[in-house]
Amino acid sequence: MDQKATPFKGIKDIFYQTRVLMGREYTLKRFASEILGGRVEAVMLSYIEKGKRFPTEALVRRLAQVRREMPETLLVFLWRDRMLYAFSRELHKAIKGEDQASIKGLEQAEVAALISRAIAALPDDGTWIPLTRWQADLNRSILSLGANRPSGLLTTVMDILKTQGLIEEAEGKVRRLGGHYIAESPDEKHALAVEFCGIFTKGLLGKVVLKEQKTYLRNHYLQIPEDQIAAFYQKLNAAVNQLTTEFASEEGEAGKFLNVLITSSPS
Amino acid sequence: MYSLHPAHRKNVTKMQSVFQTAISGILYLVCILISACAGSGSSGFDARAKAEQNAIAKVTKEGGCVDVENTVICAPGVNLANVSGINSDFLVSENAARLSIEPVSGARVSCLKNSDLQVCQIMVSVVPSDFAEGTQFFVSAHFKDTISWSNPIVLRPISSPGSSLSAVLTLETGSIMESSGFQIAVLVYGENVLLPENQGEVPLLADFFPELVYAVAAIEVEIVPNP
Repeated sequence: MDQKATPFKGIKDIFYQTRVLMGREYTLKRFASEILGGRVEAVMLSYIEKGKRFPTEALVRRLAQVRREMPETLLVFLWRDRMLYAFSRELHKAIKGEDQASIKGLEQAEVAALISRAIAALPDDGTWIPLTRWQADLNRSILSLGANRPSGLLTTVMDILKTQGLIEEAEGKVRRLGGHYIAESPDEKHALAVEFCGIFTKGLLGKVVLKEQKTYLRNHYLQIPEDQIAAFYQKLNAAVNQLTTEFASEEGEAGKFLNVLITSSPS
Repeated sequence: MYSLHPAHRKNVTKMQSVFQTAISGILYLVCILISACAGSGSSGFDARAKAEQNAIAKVTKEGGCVDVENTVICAPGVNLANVSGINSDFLVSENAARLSIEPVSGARVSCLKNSDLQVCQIMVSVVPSDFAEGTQFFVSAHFKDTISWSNPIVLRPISSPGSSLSAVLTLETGSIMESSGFQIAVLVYGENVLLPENQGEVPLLADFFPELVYAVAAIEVEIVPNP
């Protein structure tokens, strides 16, 4: 299964997708008892599909057998979700000073991921495109999040982009005014931070566990005079901007959505 | 190896078939999904930089001044009377202090390139009126799509004190190749305050600790050989 099709797929989506693809007759109860061999109660399976509980590794291995896939290909989703959950909880304390354990942080990260998709779906040069076409593109990303996605995502994403002055809408058309989304409120910062963590953990697990060849993961390091750090960051930013613009698909061209997460900090 | 109960094998076979169909469907969906992607973008947390950029855009479009968390950013030529947040120590007359900058917002300027170096130079001049003696003016530049303001350089009198001041801004031609749009900020400091000399490049105007900033934006640079 191509998991890269969705902005932010988790283990909950794998369980839901597997059951739905087997057919309408597979209710939670029947899937839990017949396919998963009674290793999980229907109520718990419901919680798992909604992302309210994590499955055990044994249950994920069982699902992998059912799907005839290597267990690691599914376990990485479980491991990443657990890491994101723990990161989201700690980050919530760091940003808001509250101890809140919930899946809401992960849902907000989906919004942050959709914002990236929405920006990338508009031409770099600010050309106007039909609003309906852009919304249809965005809706495809939203639909791919599964039935348990938060409601009103399209409106949420559009409102954020308009508020930040990144898009302009007129006479049934839309165009981009800017390409850099900035998280401002504590909720937005939390969501974006969890998305960044999701990108990193996906790359890390993909490279280390699955040994993916199409993932780039490398630490570059250097000794640098402190007063040159700002200049270094400026050139790094300019170089990455130039690369992403140069290699971004032309409108109508096929391609993959590639995240390039960069962090640099003096020790 | 786990084996399914015979009663479920038919279902699993059916499921595999469904999965194969689904894979094709999803791959098709991916093609549709990504075929719409026509651009690139980025996301981050540097909200203060955006606030400064919004302020520059606002004063460029509407004139006046904007206070961005204690850094006052003004359009050139604005009358400083009734502008809150400004240290009045460097104003002779609160009703008359003003400053003009050349080039102006939206101007197209020639950047003289030295053939041996990857840099070019433009002249920036300002004419301050009714600022207190000892007030100091620096200039910094910022290219669109980059994250830093250049190290500020002092604006010196062209001829005699009290007339216009000028400075030569040195720009890296590599940056100009990437984007020709840039901004200029004139930083104003009173006497006996910390000046931004040798501070290097910084992401925020506020990092220079100016008492007042005049900004011009949307300047287009054209590189021309220095005869």
